[in-house]
Amino acid sequence: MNLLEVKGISKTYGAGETAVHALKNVSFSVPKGEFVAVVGESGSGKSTLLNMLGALDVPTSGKVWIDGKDTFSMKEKHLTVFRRRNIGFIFQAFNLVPELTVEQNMVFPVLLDYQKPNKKYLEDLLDILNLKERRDHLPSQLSGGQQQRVAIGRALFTRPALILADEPTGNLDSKNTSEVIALLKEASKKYEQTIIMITHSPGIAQTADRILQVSDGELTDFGRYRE
Amino acid sequence: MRIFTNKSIKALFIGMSLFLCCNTILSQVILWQFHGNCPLALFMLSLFMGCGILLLSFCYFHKQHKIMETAVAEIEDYLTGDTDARIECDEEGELYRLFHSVNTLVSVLNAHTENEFRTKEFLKDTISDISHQLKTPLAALNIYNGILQSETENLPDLKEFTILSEQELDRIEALVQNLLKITRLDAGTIIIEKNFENVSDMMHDIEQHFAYRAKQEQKELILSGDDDISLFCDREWMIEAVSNLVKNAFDHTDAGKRICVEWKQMSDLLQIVVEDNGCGIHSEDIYHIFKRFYRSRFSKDTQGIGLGLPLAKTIVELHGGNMKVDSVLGKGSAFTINLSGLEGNITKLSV
Repeated sequence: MNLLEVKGISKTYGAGETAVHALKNVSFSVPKGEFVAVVGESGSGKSTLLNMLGALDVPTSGKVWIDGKDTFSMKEKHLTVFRRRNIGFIFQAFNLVPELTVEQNMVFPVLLDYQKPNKKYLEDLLDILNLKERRDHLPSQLSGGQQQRVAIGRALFTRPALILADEPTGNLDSKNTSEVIALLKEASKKYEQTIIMITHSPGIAQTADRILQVSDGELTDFGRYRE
Repeated sequence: MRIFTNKSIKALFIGMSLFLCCNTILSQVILWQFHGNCPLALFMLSLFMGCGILLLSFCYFHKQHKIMETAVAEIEDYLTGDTDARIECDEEGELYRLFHSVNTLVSVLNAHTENEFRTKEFLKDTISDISHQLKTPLAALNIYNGILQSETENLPDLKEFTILSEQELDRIEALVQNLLKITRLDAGTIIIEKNFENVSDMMHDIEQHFAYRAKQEQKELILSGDDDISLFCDREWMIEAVSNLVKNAFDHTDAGKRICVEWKQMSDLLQIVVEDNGCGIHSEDIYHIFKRFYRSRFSKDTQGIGLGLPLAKTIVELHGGNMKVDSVLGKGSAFTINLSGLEGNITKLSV
């Protein structure tokens, strides 16, 4: 069973002449543990697609199955728990909680699930993300790149089966970028986490196992690295 | 207080608290009403509360029991082959976190199994590709060697080397063919096409194939068995398996020795025995001879590659049978194949 199955996803905003077709009949599937890069120009529908996959938005038509569960036919209560346990988001706009410190932001989803955070893993992550000295700072005291790293740490900390990343290295310098990509790749191999990453940079896209292109709402599968 | 994230536990405690409160309030009311003179009423009230609490607890545990049973059933399903089995776990609470972890384990296991399968496929394809690609230069070398041989008719020294080269080329060719066969069988992607084949027919085919060699090496090849036994098997692969055993026998017997192929029906099994009175197998080797590329240091057969026996065993096992060997060093060896699939017993076969 594939971790992610997408069938016929379409999203249309507005109606009639002013209708905007953000996504047109997108279908694909992703096996567990695959690292997928999604490329495309601005406004092509990439972020919309990611929101569909994470069940943060409802499509006009189509279905998404994550680990065999049809996300759009689940009750909101169950979907919330499911999302919390199975999906990790890295938003383009970070979406950190301004009143919490770096460390608290990272462990927040785990606390929401009434779990005790894994101290060792937290230390490892802070170390790899170069956030050790900033662990007690608020988001307002961090640079864009540092905030982005907190967002990445937050998504990785729960070890979710599916990680959805929207331009995770957009604000990072080249050293941090390669470290973050290496971290994502290791996570995908070691913990069999499936990662779907939107990126503008062809160089970064090449590090993925598979590339999908979204252009004007339509998806093209460029195939797997190994095939 | 984390235990209260679980809805059922919360409901249980709330229910019990309600009963306790009711009991306290009502008992106070009754005491006040009847000025302490109402043992029966108080008794009934506490009985009622006791029953209520027992009932609540029973309901809770019964529900938990059902949840556990369902979860165990899902795990059993997975163990018996349904890789899509998952436990329902989209509620709050420790129990469901446990179920979620089990589900994660299951998907990770699945992913590892699929990866392993893909690696196996990849290896098989690689070996197959390489083997196929070796055939071309081999064919060329054979031709060149043939030409060299004919050109050196009058140069005995050179000719000797062309003959040696030919032997080595033959060896490589045999190795490549065996490799191809073994990888095909291994990956499990070969389809064994079974039909009813006459065992005597197949054995006589083998006899013909070795007739020339028997004559050349002055060895006797004897067949013995009924003409009317039919076996449900893949003719090509079965002949391959028995031929490998016969070839082995030839390789380990001296001139004047005897190789005997015998087949008989024993209740619902077919037994084929390839026996020789050659040099036998050393006791140190006998546990290793079915391993690939195993070459005994006592073996007089220096040309062998070590794939014939493992291949024969794989073929027999793919047919649902088994192979064993008995041998005494210096006296000879007997390889026994047991197979089901005789005509009339076909319902017992799992294809």
